[in-house]
Amino acid sequence: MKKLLVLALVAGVVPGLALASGNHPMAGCGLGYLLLSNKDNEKITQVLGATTNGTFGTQTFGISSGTSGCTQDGAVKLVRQAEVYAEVNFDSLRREMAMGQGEFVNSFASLLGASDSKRPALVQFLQKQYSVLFPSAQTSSAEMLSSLSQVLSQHPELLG
Amino acid sequence: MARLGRPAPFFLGALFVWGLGTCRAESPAVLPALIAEAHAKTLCARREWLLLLHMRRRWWGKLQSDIDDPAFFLSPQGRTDPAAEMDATLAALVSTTTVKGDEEPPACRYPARASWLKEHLSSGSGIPEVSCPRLENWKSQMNPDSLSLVFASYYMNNPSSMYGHTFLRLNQKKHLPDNQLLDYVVNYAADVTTKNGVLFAVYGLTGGYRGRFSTLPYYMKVQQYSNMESRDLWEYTLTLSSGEISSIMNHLWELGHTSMAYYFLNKNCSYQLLPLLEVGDPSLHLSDRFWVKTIPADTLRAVLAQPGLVSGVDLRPSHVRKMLDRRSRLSDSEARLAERLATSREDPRTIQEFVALPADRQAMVLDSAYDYFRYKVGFNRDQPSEVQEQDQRLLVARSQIQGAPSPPFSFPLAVPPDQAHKSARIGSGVGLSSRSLFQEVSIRPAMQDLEADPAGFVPGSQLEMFDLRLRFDDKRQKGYLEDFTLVNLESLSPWDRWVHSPSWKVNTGLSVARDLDRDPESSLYYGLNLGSGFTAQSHLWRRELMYGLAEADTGVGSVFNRGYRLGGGGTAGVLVEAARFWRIHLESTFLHYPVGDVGSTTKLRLVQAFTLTRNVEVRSTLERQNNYRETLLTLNLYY
Repeated sequence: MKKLLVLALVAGVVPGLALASGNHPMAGCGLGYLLLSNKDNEKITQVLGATTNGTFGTQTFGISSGTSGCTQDGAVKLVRQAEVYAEVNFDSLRREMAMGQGEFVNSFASLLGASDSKRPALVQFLQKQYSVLFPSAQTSSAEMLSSLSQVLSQHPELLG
Repeated sequence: MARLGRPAPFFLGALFVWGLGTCRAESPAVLPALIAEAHAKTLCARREWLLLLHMRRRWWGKLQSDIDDPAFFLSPQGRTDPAAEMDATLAALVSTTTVKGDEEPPACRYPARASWLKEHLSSGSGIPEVSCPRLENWKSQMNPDSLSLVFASYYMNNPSSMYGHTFLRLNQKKHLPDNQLLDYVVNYAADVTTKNGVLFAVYGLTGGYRGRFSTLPYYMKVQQYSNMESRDLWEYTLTLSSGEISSIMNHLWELGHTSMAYYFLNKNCSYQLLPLLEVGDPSLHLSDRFWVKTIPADTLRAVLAQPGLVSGVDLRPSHVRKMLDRRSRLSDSEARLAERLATSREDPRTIQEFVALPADRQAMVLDSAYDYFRYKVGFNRDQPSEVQEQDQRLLVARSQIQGAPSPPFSFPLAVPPDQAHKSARIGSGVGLSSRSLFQEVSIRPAMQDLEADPAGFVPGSQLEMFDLRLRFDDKRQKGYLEDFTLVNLESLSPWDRWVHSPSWKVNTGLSVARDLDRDPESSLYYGLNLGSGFTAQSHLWRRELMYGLAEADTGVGSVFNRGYRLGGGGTAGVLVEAARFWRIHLESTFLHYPVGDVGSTTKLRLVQAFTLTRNVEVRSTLERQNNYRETLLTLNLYY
């Protein structure tokens, strides 16, 4: 099951990249807007309060919104979970992968299919592989996932 | 409930069955029995049924659902007639034909109603079983074992976030203890369609936006609140049985197909979670008292007031809180080094002072440097390349230090929002002015001022709306309006090397021009005051805030020569938390009005506030404005 998930990860990423329009690999997912954060220096939006605590997708995650891109009825499609997670949490994840600890990297390890007992070792391993997974300052989440699947397919014992 | 004649249910049932066209052969026999039994048991009058339809008794005496979307109801009278809706639901469940162009059979669209009706009707076994793949798929991904009510703390920089926000988290046991980011969250929010500020306020206050329920991963909310907005998340775990949770999930699916008018003041994000919880456990009465206004912290208190409903609370700290805690473990020179690394373009490994540190200290310095770096550049993703390069430098350096566990965070002084004083306040006072002896009564629906106990709020913040003060002049035996403040906001954010936002204030409303020292009933004017400046903080006692604000002030009223005055000046003050129960606030203001009614005002004010119990407070105020003087003693009750 866990190995299937990793393979599904690779399968999920490659067509995603192929279908993506625009520069960003997640653009095909319909979640491109997630990249736009609440920039505090966007004074108009800030002062006039154009968000009502629903910044992330009232439409995309509407409970009966049906199927589109990476979501289905208010849930992230199982096969896209690692991809969406890595993209939305990219900075937090990258940071904790460099630290070798943290809630974001732990949850990521769990999404990759690592069992509870294997997770600490996997997290340590990810830290050691940091420069392989993030070779440049511009490495995207899709590129990282791609390198990650290759690395993990060579070390299946890490997932357990 | 409407009392129809005896033969009517049969004909009604037959009419529906005929109207739906393709029916199963046994339907004509089953439906009348169901409807007859349902009426005999007066199921449509039961609280559980009324909760499923979101029925409320309006001030004009009749029942009406909060849900104004006709598509939610199977009967054209469904919004106001629970009996008609029940009959229509039974008819729909029995026929299994999809209604209104849905792809799903009615039992899949209304699983909570279906399950409740089946349970309460012995002839319920006549209702056919259907398979609901979409519903089952959604439920299997949400899969909660327990629920948490999460409160995102106050955020003064966004008008719709000043009162905080609440949502529910669907906790999966398999995600314990540290994978809760992967849980899903239930959020009710308005579908905002305009960026225009005035329209936004108008639509929000008058129900111009549609409110919808969505479910989304918790990690998205954590990114938004903890990181982008640097707000704490307080997670209150609720105790609900698996049957109760199942009802909630079924009903949530029903709500997911519809929308309601969103009203900022009362039917808002926090309010709509309460009827959902009531569907789970109908013995709960959470939403009843929220009529004119729903303040998120009040909904929290309503939930906490139910014995046994809340089993614990956890704090998920904001990025800023974590950053300051981590920095407090560094020495001064280490903190300076972290600052340097965060703001320069140097590689840490080229800095002698850094390399000389032991590995675990290096890790701590890098972690603080990254905290500060991220705080300064912001959490948005399109950063200039030189920022991305520094980001990479810091992280590559950190990745090379293995086995240096970060010490756990600790926040002993953090007070959960439910432990703050209550939101509304009434006050009664007696005072002596240079004009006469007077009595005062005041009422304020929301929410917090500088002199009240800051526990559970953001210290140095003031958020007052519709504060009304009436006085009675003993000497002239005359009552008058002293003050009606529409909005009074102040944010004194103390300057810290790393975290410094400007302090500001906005105040508008009707008030008496005390500095003109005339009869108060003829000195009423409408004013607007705006200020901006800085605040410093010290901890000689518990906490002291020293602030200075430059301000612009304007007023219109017949009391002024030429009907108005416009000017500016400044305010300086000290707000001291001398003890847990005692605050002292000394403030002085100088304003000069060169335009309109030309003149100057000098104000001096000293307030002492004593907390007797969490919701009872005594204040003494000494105030002076030009030649006018006043002493006031007030008793305030928060409710």
